[in-house]
Amino acid sequence: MTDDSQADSGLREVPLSALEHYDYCHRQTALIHVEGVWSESAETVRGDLSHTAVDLPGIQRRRGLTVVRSLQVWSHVHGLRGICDVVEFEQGTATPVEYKVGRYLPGGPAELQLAGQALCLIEAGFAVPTGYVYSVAERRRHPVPITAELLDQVVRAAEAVRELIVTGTLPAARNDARCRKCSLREDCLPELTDGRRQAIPDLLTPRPLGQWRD
Amino acid sequence: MTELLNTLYVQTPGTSLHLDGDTVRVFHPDQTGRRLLPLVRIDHFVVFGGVNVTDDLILRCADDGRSISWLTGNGRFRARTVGPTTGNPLLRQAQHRVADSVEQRLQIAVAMVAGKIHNSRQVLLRTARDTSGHRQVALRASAELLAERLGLLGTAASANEVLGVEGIAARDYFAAMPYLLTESKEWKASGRNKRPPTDPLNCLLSFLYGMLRVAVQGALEQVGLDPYIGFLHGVRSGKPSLALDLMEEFRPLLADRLALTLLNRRELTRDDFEALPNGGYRLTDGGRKSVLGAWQQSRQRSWQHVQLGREVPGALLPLVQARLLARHLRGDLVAYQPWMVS
Ligand code: SF4
Repeated sequence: MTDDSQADSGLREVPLSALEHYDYCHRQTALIHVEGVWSESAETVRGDLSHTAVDLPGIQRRRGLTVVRSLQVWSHVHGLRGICDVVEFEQGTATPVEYKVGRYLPGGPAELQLAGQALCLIEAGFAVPTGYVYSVAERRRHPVPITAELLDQVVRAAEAVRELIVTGTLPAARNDARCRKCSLREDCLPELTDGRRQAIPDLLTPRPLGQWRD
Repeated sequence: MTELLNTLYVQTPGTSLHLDGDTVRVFHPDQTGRRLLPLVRIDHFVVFGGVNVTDDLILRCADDGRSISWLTGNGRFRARTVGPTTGNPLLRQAQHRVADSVEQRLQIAVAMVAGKIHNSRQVLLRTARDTSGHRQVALRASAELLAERLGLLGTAASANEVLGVEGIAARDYFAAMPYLLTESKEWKASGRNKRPPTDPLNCLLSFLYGMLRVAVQGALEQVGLDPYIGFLHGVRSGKPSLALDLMEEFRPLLADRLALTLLNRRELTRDDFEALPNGGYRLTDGGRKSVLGAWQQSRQRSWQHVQLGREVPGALLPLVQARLLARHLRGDLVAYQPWMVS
């Protein structure tokens, strides 16, 4: 998962999936890509279906449209690397489709990931005007225009993530509503690691008998 | 994610474990019927002498990051497979740096021994509360002695000195064992002895410490800490010092208290132990089965965890503490706080 290979340009490569984590929580990105906590749990939960149909590499051709599943993409210029769930190629145009288990969140992290894929596909010489987020829960795709602004956002996020990985920084926990849904919560311990000063208990004063039951 | 930490203990000699799709098939020639257990529900395997695990099951477990530990019938650790090491070189680096820092090492060592002494006192005070007469007097006096040892920790200048205090406190505590055993006439308790254990209590303690060690070392490995680089026990070739460190705070309540309960409630009898010609004792197969059952059950019960502000099942306490330690080593937490029962 955290394969820290270097891109040809000498940049340390950032996995596209990290962009999505970064948007969700900086600390989550660091826990995954710096600390190496987890591995399966969060990933399997998030991409449950990536182990099913979408994850099987495959190519389909029909009427000028080529559909590739599980396609590896990369950007040497920006030091990015990742796998697209599905890309549809039609002449000089590529359309990535990102599969999400949950509902589509406009402006959410999936769009950043999609734009990261777009960046790689553009570097490979395709036009990428639009991508789609396919929500499995809703069973429909939502179009995401790949704007210059979104692409800039990807580049900025990639730089920030690279900085985290290279320096091994561990940002303080957010300790907010997002933590409740975060699969890394048990490792993160947000209530204790949000940077607020922790009281250090007096360890050397004897204590009376506690309430514990047997 | 799966915070269940289900350990499968297999102890009947002659049993073999096979991989069967996504399940493990448990087979014993004398028992009819097949037992199939889904692998997803098992986080660790602990197998005792005479149990065979097929190589495809071992490799599958390694792939999934599920550990297998091999123990002797007495609970002595023999081997373990963990699969590819969990990848957190930065955490290990931090661990090594702290181990090299006199100050930081001292702070953690003090916390660990303080945790142990606190919890040992709780065992003494609880039994004292439920008893009377000379036993109560003796137990309270021992608790008082341990309170003084706590004070000594404050003056220790190195991890080695802390270890010295730990040794003294352990002696005081084990000296009180006869008063912790209500059936002390039947279960002669003569301090702590282990190689070999020369009485049933020590035999039982050794076995339970073996179980605890497996749990603690597994938790350390899961979190990505190096079980061999310790703070209290330092670094010695072949010695899982950090596992021994982290065990300290759990021994009194997760192991000692369970041993005492089993003997005091006569859930184990003389027949569950066999005396050996060399003066040693060991658990019989039936005795081991009873102890494992009790151990598994005790791992289900929850304990209050003050720092987290919630209850944590005994089976997860080592993992929680390993994580707190990792967070301290990585600079997230200013201090390591031991688990202290309250
Ligand atoms: S628990 Fe909260 S702070 Fe920690 S990684 Fe998850 S979202 Fe971020």
